[in-house]
Amino acid sequence: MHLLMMGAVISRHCLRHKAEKFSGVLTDTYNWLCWERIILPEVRDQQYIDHQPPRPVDFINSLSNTAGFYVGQHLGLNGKNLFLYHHGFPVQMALILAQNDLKLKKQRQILVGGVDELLEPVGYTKKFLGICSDLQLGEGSNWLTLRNEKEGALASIDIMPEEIGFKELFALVEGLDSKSRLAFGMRMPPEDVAVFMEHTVCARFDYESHCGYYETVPLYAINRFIEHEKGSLLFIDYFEKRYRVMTLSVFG
Amino acid sequence: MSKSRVYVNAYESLSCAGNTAQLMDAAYAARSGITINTSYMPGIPVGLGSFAPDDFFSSLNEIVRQVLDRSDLDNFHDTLLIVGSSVGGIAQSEEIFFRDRSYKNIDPARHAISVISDTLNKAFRFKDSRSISTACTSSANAMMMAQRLLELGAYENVLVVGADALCYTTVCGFHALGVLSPEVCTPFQKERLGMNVAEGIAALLLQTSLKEGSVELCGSGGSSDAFHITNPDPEARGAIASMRNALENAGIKADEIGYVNAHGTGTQANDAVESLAVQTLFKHMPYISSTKAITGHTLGAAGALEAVVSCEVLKRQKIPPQSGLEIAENGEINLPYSTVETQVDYVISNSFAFGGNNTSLVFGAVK
Repeated sequence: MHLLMMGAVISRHCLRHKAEKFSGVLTDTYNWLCWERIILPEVRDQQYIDHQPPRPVDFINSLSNTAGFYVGQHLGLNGKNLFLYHHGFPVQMALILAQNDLKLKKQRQILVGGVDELLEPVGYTKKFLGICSDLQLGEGSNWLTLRNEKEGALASIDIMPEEIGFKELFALVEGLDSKSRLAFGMRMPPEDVAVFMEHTVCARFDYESHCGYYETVPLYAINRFIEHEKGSLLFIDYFEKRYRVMTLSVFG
Repeated sequence: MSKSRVYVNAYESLSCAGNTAQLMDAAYAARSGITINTSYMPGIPVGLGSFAPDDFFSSLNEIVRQVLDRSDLDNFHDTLLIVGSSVGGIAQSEEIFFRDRSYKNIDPARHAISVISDTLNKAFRFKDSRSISTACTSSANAMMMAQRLLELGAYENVLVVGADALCYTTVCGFHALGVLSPEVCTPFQKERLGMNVAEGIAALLLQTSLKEGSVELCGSGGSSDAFHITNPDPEARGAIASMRNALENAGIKADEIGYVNAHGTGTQANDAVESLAVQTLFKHMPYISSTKAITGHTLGAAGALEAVVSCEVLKRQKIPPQSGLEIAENGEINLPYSTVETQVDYVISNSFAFGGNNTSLVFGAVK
């Protein structure tokens, strides 16, 4: 089995255990993934170089919504599954849509996941992702179950639907109290981080030293904060001079 | 929470059957745009739908430009763009590889799904954009997401674009699955040979304001079979749930549907299961046909392209026949052999994808 799928498989085993333990598995759970479609190298070479049709399973596994199927099948979910792609802010885009559907009461529960595989060659991948050459790449599979109900919840999350300008963001950071924590997207220019940290009383939440960069790494940051911290986190993400903000509040 | 109503106020499309007006003429005349190609995969005849030699990305910009011209907007600067695509820039990457015999010159930024939104953003400067890629339900899901964002009041204007170019990867993949027809596909026919892969572009402007000529997007629904990676649940539970959820979301009863714009790919599995779903859910036997016999299966663009067909059926009050049909496999569904002029208040349009990814959209005539 390809590593890309393996990530989802490993994760969903853990997920099922957790879901059963904490909330039970609802069969109408929506299953949303943010990811990127790739052509698996073996399929690509079979077709383009050897002029051989791909094995059916390889073709199928190269489709974006395949992981949604595997996760849905394993967990017994029959709610809609969706694959969302956004160059820059895939996690925020998926969470905004999930937030909207929960607000509209279209769904009771939404499972949001991000799966990224480290692709070779690394230089090519870094160019595509728009990250600096000294940032280490990683891979990961991270999942969240979202509901509209506070009862039994570990945390609440609020995603600002619009991008935010530097001035507004600066004011937001300046207004934070000392109990809050700040985290930054790994593409954020160090000089921006320095400016924000200079003008805030809150401490920085470090997740970067525990992982390499991948497109859906904000989900890792969220999960790590929930697992290890309490209180509020303001997560500022950055891509091509644009900022997006998520606020996380961990209960208990 | 009060919800805004959502209207389709302008649209245009391009497929192997031509633009929207040409497509509808072809659909009513049961004239397919599919051609049989023996050189795409040497020695293997396949029915393909192509609008080559036009450049795909120029055509994409042109279609969106036409939608803007038909709208009440001066520009798209306050409009959200939602793209549904399964291929993205793979076709371009293939061209480069076959020309250079190397992956070296392939630009990763032009390979991804987001190349469609990047291209359109460059030309039209949208407020924001996102892309959905769920194989053959991509742009139907984009329509569903647009409806929800508009209902919530997050935006006033959303442009949905379904776009997929013909590419070697998908044609070979479907060939490997043994579902490609060497002839023009014949959805719902008793002895059918499979599907035709095709390229297509469709763009629809969805707004919360009612305009002259609006069609309402009344509801959307989805489900996941999670039954088998390529085959739908043989008892059609996923397809039924998808349509039922869409009807519930639209707040209408099954017997109010006048026409089912079927997913109808022409494959054995899809058509048998979709027929069973329609037969089970709609006891009043509404008309049902698939325009994939005219356009081929435009994959990620199919949901948007067939949304355009659904809007046209409501505006013209005219149902296209099932092109290519001689003997139906399932006699319990109402497949028209010729164009039917009748009152149609609501249309349901189905899109079903691998992995049991099902989406249904309900459109209503504005009275």
